[in-house]
Amino acid sequence: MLSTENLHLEVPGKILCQDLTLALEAGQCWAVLGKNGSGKTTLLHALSGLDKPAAGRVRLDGRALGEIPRRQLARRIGALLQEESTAFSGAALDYVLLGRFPHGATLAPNISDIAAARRALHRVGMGQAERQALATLSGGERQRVRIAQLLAQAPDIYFLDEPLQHLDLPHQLAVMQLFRRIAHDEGKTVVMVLHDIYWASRFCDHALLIHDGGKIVHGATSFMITQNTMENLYQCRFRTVTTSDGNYFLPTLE
Amino acid sequence: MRHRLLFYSLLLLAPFSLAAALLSGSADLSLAQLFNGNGTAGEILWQLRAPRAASAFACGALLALSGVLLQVLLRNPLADPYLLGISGGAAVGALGAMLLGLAAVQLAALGGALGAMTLVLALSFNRHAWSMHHLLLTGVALSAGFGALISLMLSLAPGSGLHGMLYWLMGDLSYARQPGLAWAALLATGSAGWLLARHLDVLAIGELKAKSLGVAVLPLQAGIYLAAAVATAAAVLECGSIGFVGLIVPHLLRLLGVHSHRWLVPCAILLGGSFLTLADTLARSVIAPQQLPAGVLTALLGVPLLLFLLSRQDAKY
Repeated sequence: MLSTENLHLEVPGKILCQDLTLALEAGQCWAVLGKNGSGKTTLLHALSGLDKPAAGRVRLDGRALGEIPRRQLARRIGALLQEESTAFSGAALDYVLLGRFPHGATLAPNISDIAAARRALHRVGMGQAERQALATLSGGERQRVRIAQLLAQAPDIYFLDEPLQHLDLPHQLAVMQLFRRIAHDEGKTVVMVLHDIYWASRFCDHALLIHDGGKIVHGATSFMITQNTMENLYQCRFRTVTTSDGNYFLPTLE
Repeated sequence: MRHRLLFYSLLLLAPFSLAAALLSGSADLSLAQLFNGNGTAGEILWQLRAPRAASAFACGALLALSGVLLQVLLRNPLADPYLLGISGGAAVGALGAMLLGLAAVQLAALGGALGAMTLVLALSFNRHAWSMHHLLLTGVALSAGFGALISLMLSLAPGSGLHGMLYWLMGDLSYARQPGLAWAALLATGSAGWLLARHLDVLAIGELKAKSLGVAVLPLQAGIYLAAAVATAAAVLECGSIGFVGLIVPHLLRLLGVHSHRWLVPCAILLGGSFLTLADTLARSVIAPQQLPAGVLTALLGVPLLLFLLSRQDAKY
Protein backbone atom coordinates (compact mmCIF):
# COMPACT_ATOMS: atom_id res chain seq x y z
CA MET A 1 0.00 0.00 0.00
CA LEU A 2 2.64 2.53 1.12
CA SER A 3 6.20 2.00 -0.03
CA THR A 4 9.50 3.85 0.02
CA GLU A 5 12.44 3.67 -2.36
CA ASN A 6 15.89 4.66 -1.12
CA LEU A 7 14.39 7.11 1.33
CA HIS A 8 16.99 9.46 2.77
CA LEU A 9 16.26 11.88 5.63
CA GLU A 10 18.54 14.34 7.35
CA VAL A 11 18.55 17.38 9.56
CA PRO A 12 21.52 19.79 9.55
CA GLY A 13 24.58 17.84 10.73
CA LYS A 14 22.81 14.51 11.16
CA ILE A 15 21.61 11.69 8.93
CA LEU A 16 18.36 10.22 10.26
CA CYS A 17 17.51 7.66 7.62
CA GLN A 18 19.69 6.07 4.98
CA ASP A 19 18.42 4.29 1.91
CA LEU A 20 15.28 2.93 3.48
CA THR A 21 13.23 0.59 1.34
CA LEU A 22 10.05 -0.37 3.08
CA ALA A 23 6.57 -1.64 2.22
CA LEU A 24 3.61 -1.18 4.55
CA GLU A 25 0.61 -3.40 3.87
CA ALA A 26 -3.01 -3.43 4.97
CA GLY A 27 -3.64 -5.26 8.24
CA GLN A 28 -0.16 -4.59 9.63
CA CYS A 29 0.57 -2.94 12.96
CA TRP A 30 4.06 -1.43 13.15
CA ALA A 31 6.13 -0.15 16.05
CA VAL A 32 8.85 2.43 15.42
CA LEU A 33 11.56 2.33 18.08
CA GLY A 34 14.69 4.40 18.58
CA LYS A 35 16.47 6.68 21.02
CA ASN A 36 15.51 10.33 21.53
CA GLY A 37 16.53 12.37 18.52
CA SER A 38 17.04 9.30 16.32
CA GLY A 39 14.53 10.56 13.75
CA LYS A 40 11.31 8.71 14.56
CA THR A 41 9.13 11.80 14.15
CA THR A 42 10.98 12.95 11.03
CA LEU A 43 10.42 9.51 9.48
CA LEU A 44 6.72 9.62 10.36
CA HIS A 45 6.37 13.08 8.80
CA ALA A 46 8.07 11.92 5.59
CA LEU A 47 5.95 8.75 5.37
CA SER A 48 2.73 10.68 5.92
CA GLY A 49 3.63 13.33 3.34
CA LEU A 50 4.00 16.22 5.77
CA ASP A 51 7.66 16.78 4.86
CA LYS A 52 9.60 16.22 1.68
CA PRO A 53 12.45 13.72 2.05
CA ALA A 54 16.01 14.84 1.27
CA ALA A 55 16.16 12.07 -1.33
CA GLY A 56 14.13 9.08 -2.41
CA ARG A 57 10.42 8.66 -2.72
CA VAL A 58 7.33 7.62 -0.79
CA ARG A 59 4.55 6.08 -2.88
CA LEU A 60 0.94 5.36 -2.05
CA ASP A 61 -0.43 2.62 -4.33
CA GLY A 62 2.33 3.48 -6.76
CA ARG A 63 1.76 7.25 -6.84
CA ALA A 64 4.34 9.61 -5.33
CA LEU A 65 2.84 11.41 -2.30
CA GLY A 66 3.69 14.85 -3.74
CA GLU A 67 1.45 14.17 -6.77
CA ILE A 68 -1.67 13.44 -4.73
CA PRO A 69 -3.88 16.44 -3.88
CA ARG A 70 -3.75 17.20 -0.12
CA ARG A 71 -7.43 16.59 0.63
CA GLN A 72 -7.41 13.32 -1.25
CA LEU A 73 -4.24 12.28 0.59
CA ALA A 74 -5.86 13.16 3.93
CA ARG A 75 -8.63 10.66 3.21
CA ARG A 76 -5.97 7.91 2.89
CA ILE A 77 -3.29 8.91 5.40
CA GLY A 78 -3.89 10.35 8.88
CA ALA A 79 -1.42 11.37 11.57
CA LEU A 80 -1.56 11.83 15.31
CA LEU A 81 1.11 14.45 15.90
CA GLN A 82 3.21 14.88 18.99
CA GLU A 83 2.68 18.61 19.39
CA GLU A 84 -0.15 19.53 21.70
CA SER A 85 -2.68 22.00 20.32
CA THR A 86 -3.71 24.33 23.13
CA ALA A 87 -5.23 27.09 21.02
CA PHE A 88 -8.60 25.40 20.49
CA SER A 89 -11.28 27.09 22.56
CA GLY A 90 -14.36 25.10 21.54
CA ALA A 91 -15.98 21.88 22.74
CA ALA A 92 -14.48 18.38 22.42
CA LEU A 93 -17.03 17.37 19.76
CA ASP A 94 -16.16 20.43 17.64
CA TYR A 95 -12.51 19.47 17.86
CA VAL A 96 -13.21 15.91 16.72
CA LEU A 97 -15.41 17.25 13.89
CA LEU A 98 -12.36 18.97 12.39
CA GLY A 99 -11.17 15.42 11.60
CA ARG A 100 -14.01 15.24 9.04
CA PHE A 101 -12.51 18.13 7.06
CA PRO A 102 -11.11 15.96 4.24
CA HIS A 103 -14.53 14.35 3.70
CA GLY A 104 -17.55 15.83 1.99
CA ALA A 105 -18.84 19.32 2.56
CA THR A 106 -16.47 22.22 3.07
CA LEU A 107 -18.82 24.79 4.57
CA ALA A 108 -20.29 23.01 7.55
CA PRO A 109 -20.18 19.47 8.94
CA ASN A 110 -23.26 17.45 7.99
CA ILE A 111 -25.24 14.88 9.97
CA SER A 112 -23.05 11.93 8.99
CA ASP A 113 -19.94 13.91 10.03
CA ILE A 114 -21.48 14.53 13.43
CA ALA A 115 -22.43 10.85 13.77
CA ALA A 116 -18.87 9.80 12.86
CA ALA A 117 -17.40 12.25 15.38
CA ARG A 118 -19.71 10.98 18.15
CA ARG A 119 -18.77 7.37 17.33
CA ALA A 120 -15.10 8.28 17.48
CA LEU A 121 -15.49 9.92 20.89
CA HIS A 122 -17.27 6.82 22.19
CA ARG A 123 -14.50 4.56 20.92
CA VAL A 124 -11.97 6.33 23.15
CA GLY A 125 -14.42 6.45 26.07
CA MET A 126 -14.98 10.21 25.88
CA GLY A 127 -18.60 10.18 24.69
CA GLN A 128 -19.84 11.83 27.86
CA ALA A 129 -17.49 14.81 27.40
CA GLU A 130 -18.59 15.96 23.95
CA ARG A 131 -19.97 19.31 25.16
CA GLN A 132 -17.02 20.08 27.45
CA ALA A 133 -14.46 22.67 26.37
CA LEU A 134 -11.29 20.94 25.24
CA ALA A 135 -9.21 23.25 27.41
CA THR A 136 -10.98 22.08 30.58
CA LEU A 137 -10.04 18.42 30.02
CA SER A 138 -6.98 16.78 31.58
CA GLY A 139 -3.90 15.96 29.54
CA GLY A 140 -4.85 12.31 29.18
CA GLU A 141 -8.46 13.08 28.28
CA ARG A 142 -7.26 15.59 25.70
CA GLN A 143 -4.97 12.94 24.23
CA ARG A 144 -7.97 10.62 23.84
CA VAL A 145 -9.96 13.39 22.14
CA ARG A 146 -7.04 13.93 19.75
CA ILE A 147 -7.09 10.20 18.99
CA ALA A 148 -10.85 10.48 18.40
CA GLN A 149 -10.22 13.25 15.86
CA LEU A 150 -7.94 10.89 13.94
CA LEU A 151 -10.56 8.10 14.14
CA ALA A 152 -13.14 10.53 12.71
CA GLN A 153 -10.76 11.25 9.84
CA ALA A 154 -10.95 7.48 9.10
CA PRO A 155 -7.85 7.08 6.93
CA ASP A 156 -6.47 3.80 5.59
CA ILE A 157 -3.04 4.37 7.11
CA TYR A 158 -2.61 5.66 10.66
CA PHE A 159 0.66 7.25 11.73
CA LEU A 160 0.76 7.73 15.50
CA ASP A 161 3.53 9.71 17.14
CA GLU A 162 3.67 8.60 20.78
CA PRO A 163 -0.05 7.77 21.02
CA LEU A 164 0.29 6.79 24.70
CA GLN A 165 1.59 10.11 25.99
CA HIS A 166 -0.28 11.38 29.09
CA LEU A 167 -2.36 8.18 29.31
CA ASP A 168 -2.67 6.06 32.47
CA LEU A 169 -1.94 2.33 32.17
CA PRO A 170 -5.54 1.11 31.62
CA HIS A 171 -5.98 3.70 28.86
CA GLN A 172 -2.61 2.79 27.34
CA LEU A 173 -3.89 -0.77 27.15
CA ALA A 174 -7.23 0.36 25.69
CA VAL A 175 -5.54 2.48 22.99
CA MET A 176 -3.13 -0.34 22.05
CA GLN A 177 -6.08 -2.77 21.79
CA LEU A 178 -8.06 -0.25 19.75
CA PHE A 179 -5.33 0.22 17.17
CA ARG A 180 -4.52 -3.48 16.97
CA ARG A 181 -8.20 -4.06 16.21
CA ILE A 182 -8.12 -1.32 13.58
CA ALA A 183 -5.17 -3.07 11.91
CA HIS A 184 -6.15 -6.72 12.30
CA ASP A 185 -9.96 -6.58 12.13
CA GLU A 186 -10.57 -3.54 9.93
CA GLY A 187 -7.62 -4.13 7.62
CA LYS A 188 -6.00 -0.73 8.09
CA THR A 189 -2.30 -0.02 8.43
CA VAL A 190 -1.07 1.32 11.78
CA VAL A 191 2.40 2.69 12.41
CA MET A 192 3.22 3.96 15.88
CA VAL A 193 6.22 5.52 17.54
CA LEU A 194 6.52 3.92 20.97
CA HIS A 195 8.90 4.16 23.89
CA ASP A 196 7.55 1.15 25.76
CA ILE A 197 9.12 -2.02 24.37
CA TYR A 198 6.57 -4.20 26.12
CA TRP A 199 3.59 -2.65 24.33
CA ALA A 200 5.48 -2.87 21.05
CA SER A 201 6.32 -6.55 21.44
CA ARG A 202 2.88 -7.50 22.70
CA PHE A 203 0.66 -5.59 20.25
CA CYS A 204 2.66 -4.93 17.07
CA ASP A 205 3.39 -7.53 14.42
CA HIS A 206 6.19 -5.54 12.80
CA ALA A 207 8.91 -3.32 14.22
CA LEU A 208 11.24 -0.74 12.69
CA LEU A 209 14.40 0.15 14.59
CA ILE A 210 16.27 3.40 13.93
CA HIS A 211 19.93 3.18 14.92
CA ASP A 212 22.47 6.01 15.15
CA GLY A 213 23.57 7.27 11.75
CA GLY A 214 20.21 6.53 10.17
CA LYS A 215 20.71 2.77 9.83
CA ILE A 216 17.25 1.26 9.88
CA VAL A 217 16.30 -2.38 10.24
CA HIS A 218 12.78 -3.73 10.16
CA GLY A 219 10.88 -6.99 10.19
CA ALA A 220 8.59 -9.20 12.24
CA THR A 221 8.42 -8.18 15.90
CA SER A 222 9.57 -11.57 17.21
CA PHE A 223 12.86 -11.16 15.34
CA MET A 224 13.27 -7.44 15.86
CA ILE A 225 12.55 -7.19 19.58
CA THR A 226 14.93 -9.38 21.58
CA GLN A 227 17.18 -8.59 24.52
CA ASN A 228 20.11 -8.41 22.11
CA THR A 229 18.56 -6.05 19.56
CA MET A 230 17.15 -3.78 22.28
CA GLU A 231 20.52 -3.51 24.08
CA ASN A 232 22.08 -2.68 20.74
CA LEU A 233 19.42 -0.09 19.89
CA TYR A 234 19.24 1.76 23.20
CA GLN A 235 22.88 1.11 24.23
CA CYS A 236 21.77 0.10 27.66
CA ARG A 237 21.74 -3.28 29.50
CA PHE A 238 18.38 -5.04 29.85
CA ARG A 239 17.12 -7.93 31.95
CA THR A 240 14.39 -10.07 30.39
CA VAL A 241 11.44 -11.07 32.54
CA THR A 242 9.27 -13.71 30.89
CA THR A 243 5.60 -13.86 31.83
CA SER A 244 2.55 -15.52 30.33
CA ASP A 245 1.74 -12.12 28.70
CA GLY A 246 5.08 -11.85 26.94
CA ASN A 247 8.56 -10.60 27.64
CA TYR A 248 9.35 -7.50 29.67
CA PHE A 249 12.70 -5.81 29.14
CA LEU A 250 13.82 -3.96 32.23
CA PRO A 251 16.86 -1.68 32.11
CA THR A 252 19.46 -2.78 34.67
CA LEU A 253 21.40 -0.42 36.85
CA GLU A 254 25.06 -1.15 36.15
CA MET B 1 -28.30 27.29 19.95
CA ARG B 2 -26.39 30.01 21.65
CA HIS B 3 -24.36 31.37 18.72
CA ARG B 4 -27.42 31.36 16.49
CA LEU B 5 -29.27 33.53 19.00
CA LEU B 6 -26.29 35.85 19.24
CA PHE B 7 -26.11 36.10 15.46
CA TYR B 8 -29.78 37.11 15.18
CA SER B 9 -29.43 39.66 17.98
CA LEU B 10 -26.47 41.18 16.13
CA LEU B 11 -28.51 41.15 12.96
CA LEU B 12 -31.01 43.37 14.79
CA LEU B 13 -28.32 45.54 16.33
CA ALA B 14 -26.94 46.51 12.91
CA PRO B 15 -30.04 48.42 11.58
CA PHE B 16 -30.55 49.86 15.07
CA SER B 17 -27.03 51.32 15.10
CA LEU B 18 -27.47 52.73 11.60
CA ALA B 19 -30.81 54.30 12.54
CA ALA B 20 -29.25 55.84 15.64
CA ALA B 21 -26.49 57.29 13.47
CA LEU B 22 -29.02 58.81 11.06
CA LEU B 23 -31.24 60.26 13.77
CA SER B 24 -28.74 61.84 16.09
CA GLY B 25 -26.48 64.80 15.60
CA SER B 26 -26.24 68.50 16.31
CA ALA B 27 -29.29 69.30 14.19
CA ASP B 28 -32.40 67.71 15.69
CA LEU B 29 -34.30 65.96 12.98
CA SER B 30 -37.41 63.91 13.55
CA LEU B 31 -38.23 60.72 11.67
CA ALA B 32 -40.86 62.48 9.60
CA GLN B 33 -38.50 65.28 8.59
CA LEU B 34 -35.90 62.79 7.55
CA PHE B 35 -38.13 60.77 5.31
CA ASN B 36 -40.09 63.49 3.58
CA GLY B 37 -37.02 65.60 3.93
CA ASN B 38 -36.00 67.84 1.17
CA GLY B 39 -33.96 70.98 1.58
CA THR B 40 -31.69 71.18 4.61
CA ALA B 41 -32.98 68.13 6.39
CA GLY B 42 -32.57 65.94 3.32
CA GLU B 43 -29.15 67.36 2.69
CA ILE B 44 -27.97 66.71 6.23
CA LEU B 45 -29.32 63.20 6.04
CA TRP B 46 -28.16 62.09 2.62
CA GLN B 47 -25.00 64.19 2.18
CA LEU B 48 -23.64 64.02 5.72
CA ARG B 49 -25.09 61.42 8.03
CA ALA B 50 -25.88 58.53 5.69
CA PRO B 51 -22.46 58.30 4.02
CA ARG B 52 -20.73 58.74 7.39
CA ALA B 53 -22.82 55.99 9.00
CA ALA B 54 -22.21 53.72 6.01
CA SER B 55 -18.46 54.37 6.26
CA ALA B 56 -18.40 53.76 9.98
CA PHE B 57 -20.26 50.47 9.64
CA ALA B 58 -18.07 49.19 6.81
CA CYS B 59 -14.82 50.22 8.54
CA GLY B 60 -15.78 48.67 11.88
CA ALA B 61 -16.77 45.47 10.09
CA LEU B 62 -13.52 45.41 8.10
CA LEU B 63 -11.35 45.94 11.18
CA ALA B 64 -13.13 43.23 13.18
CA LEU B 65 -12.89 40.81 10.24
CA SER B 66 -9.22 41.59 9.81
CA GLY B 67 -8.68 40.92 13.52
CA VAL B 68 -10.39 37.52 13.27
CA LEU B 69 -8.29 36.57 10.24
CA LEU B 70 -4.98 37.69 11.71
CA GLN B 71 -5.60 35.96 15.03
CA VAL B 72 -5.91 32.69 13.09
CA LEU B 73 -3.03 33.40 10.73
CA LEU B 74 -0.55 34.37 13.42
CA ARG B 75 -2.07 32.05 16.04
CA ASN B 76 -1.69 34.86 18.49
CA PRO B 77 -4.58 36.24 20.53
CA LEU B 78 -2.96 39.69 20.58
CA ALA B 79 -2.93 39.99 16.80
CA ASP B 80 -4.83 43.01 15.53
CA PRO B 81 -5.07 44.77 12.16
CA TYR B 82 -2.33 47.22 13.08
CA LEU B 83 0.25 44.61 13.97
CA LEU B 84 1.40 44.13 10.41
CA GLY B 85 2.42 47.73 9.84
CA ILE B 86 -0.24 48.35 7.18
CA SER B 87 -1.89 51.19 9.06
CA GLY B 88 1.53 52.55 10.02
CA GLY B 89 2.49 52.64 6.35
CA ALA B 90 -0.80 54.32 5.45
CA ALA B 91 -0.30 56.88 8.23
CA VAL B 92 3.24 57.66 7.05
CA GLY B 93 1.88 58.20 3.54
CA ALA B 94 -1.04 60.36 4.68
CA LEU B 95 0.98 62.47 7.11
CA GLY B 96 3.77 62.87 4.58
CA ALA B 97 1.26 64.22 2.06
CA MET B 98 -0.21 66.58 4.67
CA LEU B 99 3.27 67.77 5.64
CA LEU B 100 4.15 68.51 2.02
CA GLY B 101 0.81 70.20 1.50
CA LEU B 102 -0.34 67.73 -1.14
CA ALA B 103 -4.05 67.36 -1.77
CA ALA B 104 -3.91 63.64 -2.53
CA VAL B 105 -3.79 62.49 1.11
CA GLN B 106 -5.90 59.37 0.44
CA LEU B 107 -3.78 58.38 -2.51
CA ALA B 108 -0.61 58.79 -0.45
CA ALA B 109 -2.17 56.68 2.32
CA LEU B 110 -3.03 53.98 -0.22
CA GLY B 111 0.56 54.07 -1.48
CA GLY B 112 1.86 53.78 2.09
CA ALA B 113 -0.47 50.86 2.87
CA LEU B 114 0.51 48.97 -0.29
CA GLY B 115 4.19 49.70 0.33
CA ALA B 116 3.99 48.39 3.88
CA MET B 117 2.07 45.28 2.76
CA THR B 118 4.72 44.44 0.18
CA LEU B 119 7.59 45.20 2.53
CA VAL B 120 6.25 42.99 5.34
CA LEU B 121 5.59 40.18 2.90
CA ALA B 122 9.02 40.39 1.27
CA LEU B 123 10.90 40.60 4.56
CA SER B 124 8.99 37.76 6.22
CA PHE B 125 10.06 35.20 3.60
CA ASN B 126 13.25 33.51 4.63
CA ARG B 127 14.72 31.35 1.91
CA HIS B 128 11.84 29.12 0.78
CA ALA B 129 9.72 29.13 3.87
CA TRP B 130 7.14 31.64 5.02
CA SER B 131 7.06 31.53 8.77
CA MET B 132 4.21 33.13 10.66
CA HIS B 133 6.61 33.82 13.49
CA HIS B 134 8.76 35.84 11.09
CA LEU B 135 5.69 37.60 9.73
CA LEU B 136 4.61 38.63 13.22
CA LEU B 137 8.05 39.93 14.23
CA THR B 138 8.57 41.70 10.91
CA GLY B 139 5.20 43.41 11.29
CA VAL B 140 5.92 44.48 14.86
CA ALA B 141 9.37 45.80 13.92
CA LEU B 142 8.06 47.73 10.91
CA SER B 143 5.17 49.16 12.95
CA ALA B 144 7.68 50.47 15.46
CA GLY B 145 9.70 51.99 12.63
CA PHE B 146 6.61 53.66 11.15
CA GLY B 147 5.73 54.91 14.64
CA ALA B 148 9.08 56.67 14.83
CA LEU B 149 8.59 58.20 11.38
CA ILE B 150 5.13 59.41 12.41
CA SER B 151 6.56 61.06 15.54
CA LEU B 152 9.27 62.67 13.42
CA MET B 153 6.69 64.12 11.03
CA LEU B 154 4.51 65.35 13.89
CA SER B 155 7.50 67.15 15.41
CA LEU B 156 8.32 68.77 12.08
CA ALA B 157 4.75 69.78 11.29
CA PRO B 158 3.69 73.40 11.55
CA GLY B 159 1.17 74.10 14.32
CA SER B 160 -1.67 74.71 11.89
CA GLY B 161 -1.41 71.23 10.35
CA LEU B 162 -1.00 69.36 13.59
CA HIS B 163 -4.69 69.07 14.46
CA GLY B 164 -5.60 67.37 11.19
CA MET B 165 -2.69 64.96 11.51
CA LEU B 166 -3.57 63.98 15.07
CA TYR B 167 -7.20 63.39 14.13
CA TRP B 168 -6.12 61.21 11.21
CA LEU B 169 -3.96 59.16 13.55
CA MET B 170 -6.64 58.76 16.21
CA GLY B 171 -9.17 57.62 13.68
CA ASP B 172 -11.71 60.12 12.50
CA LEU B 173 -14.77 59.74 10.37
CA SER B 174 -15.57 63.42 9.71
CA TYR B 175 -14.09 63.23 6.24
CA ALA B 176 -15.47 59.82 5.42
CA ARG B 177 -17.68 60.47 2.42
CA GLN B 178 -17.03 57.61 0.02
CA PRO B 179 -18.13 54.39 1.67
CA GLY B 180 -18.20 52.61 -1.72
CA LEU B 181 -14.63 51.34 -1.60
CA ALA B 182 -14.92 50.13 1.99
CA TRP B 183 -18.19 48.30 1.22
CA ALA B 184 -16.68 46.67 -1.86
CA ALA B 185 -13.71 45.51 0.23
CA LEU B 186 -16.08 44.25 2.92
CA LEU B 187 -18.14 42.29 0.43
CA ALA B 188 -15.04 40.66 -1.05
CA THR B 189 -13.12 39.88 2.15
CA GLY B 190 -16.23 39.03 4.18
CA SER B 191 -17.50 36.46 1.71
CA ALA B 192 -14.00 35.02 1.31
CA GLY B 193 -13.72 34.74 5.10
CA TRP B 194 -17.09 33.03 5.38
CA LEU B 195 -16.43 30.59 2.54
CA LEU B 196 -13.09 29.67 4.12
CA ALA B 197 -14.56 29.37 7.62
CA ARG B 198 -13.92 25.65 7.97
CA HIS B 199 -10.39 26.05 6.61
CA LEU B 200 -9.83 28.71 9.27
CA ASP B 201 -11.10 26.35 11.98
CA VAL B 202 -8.64 23.70 10.89
CA LEU B 203 -5.70 26.09 10.48
CA ALA B 204 -6.33 27.42 13.99
CA ILE B 205 -5.33 24.07 15.55
CA GLY B 206 -1.86 24.17 14.00
CA GLU B 207 -0.15 24.34 10.62
CA LEU B 208 1.11 20.77 10.61
CA LYS B 209 -2.18 19.28 11.79
CA ALA B 210 -4.03 21.35 9.17
CA LYS B 211 -1.68 19.97 6.53
CA SER B 212 -2.33 16.41 7.63
CA LEU B 213 -6.08 17.08 7.49
CA GLY B 214 -5.78 18.10 3.85
CA VAL B 215 -5.42 21.90 3.94
CA ALA B 216 -3.05 23.46 1.40
CA VAL B 217 -1.47 25.54 4.14
CA LEU B 218 0.72 28.00 2.26
CA PRO B 219 -1.89 29.15 -0.29
CA LEU B 220 -4.43 29.45 2.54
CA GLN B 221 -2.06 31.57 4.63
CA ALA B 222 -1.27 33.77 1.64
CA GLY B 223 -5.01 34.21 1.01
CA ILE B 224 -5.72 35.10 4.64
CA TYR B 225 -2.87 37.60 4.66
CA LEU B 226 -4.13 39.21 1.49
CA ALA B 227 -7.72 39.41 2.76
CA ALA B 228 -6.64 40.84 6.12
CA ALA B 229 -4.34 43.36 4.44
CA VAL B 230 -7.03 44.51 2.00
CA ALA B 231 -9.59 44.80 4.81
CA THR B 232 -7.20 46.81 6.99
CA ALA B 233 -6.08 49.08 4.16
CA ALA B 234 -9.65 49.79 3.03
CA ALA B 235 -10.69 50.68 6.59
CA VAL B 236 -7.65 52.84 7.32
CA LEU B 237 -8.02 54.75 4.05
CA GLU B 238 -11.60 55.63 4.90
CA CYS B 239 -11.28 56.51 8.55
CA GLY B 240 -7.66 56.58 9.73
CA SER B 241 -6.28 54.32 12.45
CA ILE B 242 -9.24 53.42 14.61
CA GLY B 243 -7.93 51.26 17.39
CA PHE B 244 -9.30 48.39 19.49
CA VAL B 245 -12.15 47.29 17.20
CA GLY B 246 -10.00 44.63 15.53
CA LEU B 247 -8.62 43.36 18.80
CA ILE B 248 -11.68 43.58 21.02
CA VAL B 249 -14.58 42.46 18.81
CA PRO B 250 -13.23 38.94 18.07
CA HIS B 251 -12.41 38.41 21.73
CA LEU B 252 -15.79 39.68 22.88
CA LEU B 253 -17.44 37.13 20.62
CA ARG B 254 -15.20 34.29 21.79
CA LEU B 255 -15.96 35.22 25.39
CA LEU B 256 -19.65 34.99 24.48
CA GLY B 257 -19.05 31.44 23.26
CA VAL B 258 -18.62 31.85 19.49
CA HIS B 259 -15.68 29.69 18.39
CA SER B 260 -16.45 28.26 14.97
CA HIS B 261 -15.50 30.67 12.18
CA ARG B 262 -18.75 29.91 10.37
CA TRP B 263 -20.35 32.06 13.10
CA LEU B 264 -17.36 34.11 14.19
CA VAL B 265 -16.83 35.74 10.78
CA PRO B 266 -20.42 37.03 10.24
CA CYS B 267 -20.83 37.93 13.93
CA ALA B 268 -17.57 39.91 13.90
CA ILE B 269 -18.69 41.78 10.79
CA LEU B 270 -22.04 42.70 12.37
CA LEU B 271 -20.67 43.54 15.82
CA GLY B 272 -17.65 45.45 14.50
CA GLY B 273 -19.83 47.49 12.15
CA SER B 274 -22.50 48.27 14.77
CA PHE B 275 -19.86 49.02 17.41
CA LEU B 276 -18.02 51.60 15.32
CA THR B 277 -21.27 53.15 14.05
CA LEU B 278 -22.50 53.63 17.62
CA ALA B 279 -19.11 54.86 18.81
CA ASP B 280 -18.97 57.42 16.02
CA THR B 281 -22.55 58.52 16.72
CA LEU B 282 -21.57 59.11 20.34
CA ALA B 283 -18.34 60.79 19.25
CA ARG B 284 -20.25 63.44 17.38
CA SER B 285 -23.11 63.90 19.82
CA VAL B 286 -21.76 63.76 23.41
CA ILE B 287 -20.28 67.23 23.33
CA ALA B 288 -21.93 68.43 20.09
CA PRO B 289 -21.26 70.51 18.06
CA GLN B 290 -17.70 69.62 19.05
CA GLN B 291 -16.68 66.21 17.59
CA LEU B 292 -14.44 63.66 19.21
CA PRO B 293 -12.29 61.23 17.22
CA ALA B 294 -14.22 57.93 16.97
CA GLY B 295 -11.04 55.97 17.77
CA VAL B 296 -11.04 57.42 21.28
CA LEU B 297 -14.64 56.33 21.85
CA THR B 298 -14.06 52.77 20.60
CA ALA B 299 -11.32 52.36 23.18
CA LEU B 300 -13.22 54.08 25.98
CA LEU B 301 -16.25 51.82 25.38
CA GLY B 302 -14.52 48.66 24.29
CA VAL B 303 -11.85 48.29 26.94
CA PRO B 304 -14.17 48.26 29.99
CA LEU B 305 -16.61 45.95 28.17
CA LEU B 306 -13.89 43.44 27.39
CA LEU B 307 -12.41 43.62 30.89
CA PHE B 308 -15.86 43.09 32.40
CA LEU B 309 -16.54 39.98 30.30
CA LEU B 310 -13.04 38.68 30.96
CA SER B 311 -13.44 38.99 34.72
CA ARG B 312 -16.74 37.08 34.62
CA GLN B 313 -15.27 34.25 32.56
CA ASP B 314 -13.79 31.06 34.04
CA ALA B 315 -10.04 30.95 34.06
CA LYS B 316 -10.08 28.46 31.17
CA TYR B 317 -10.85 30.85 28.30
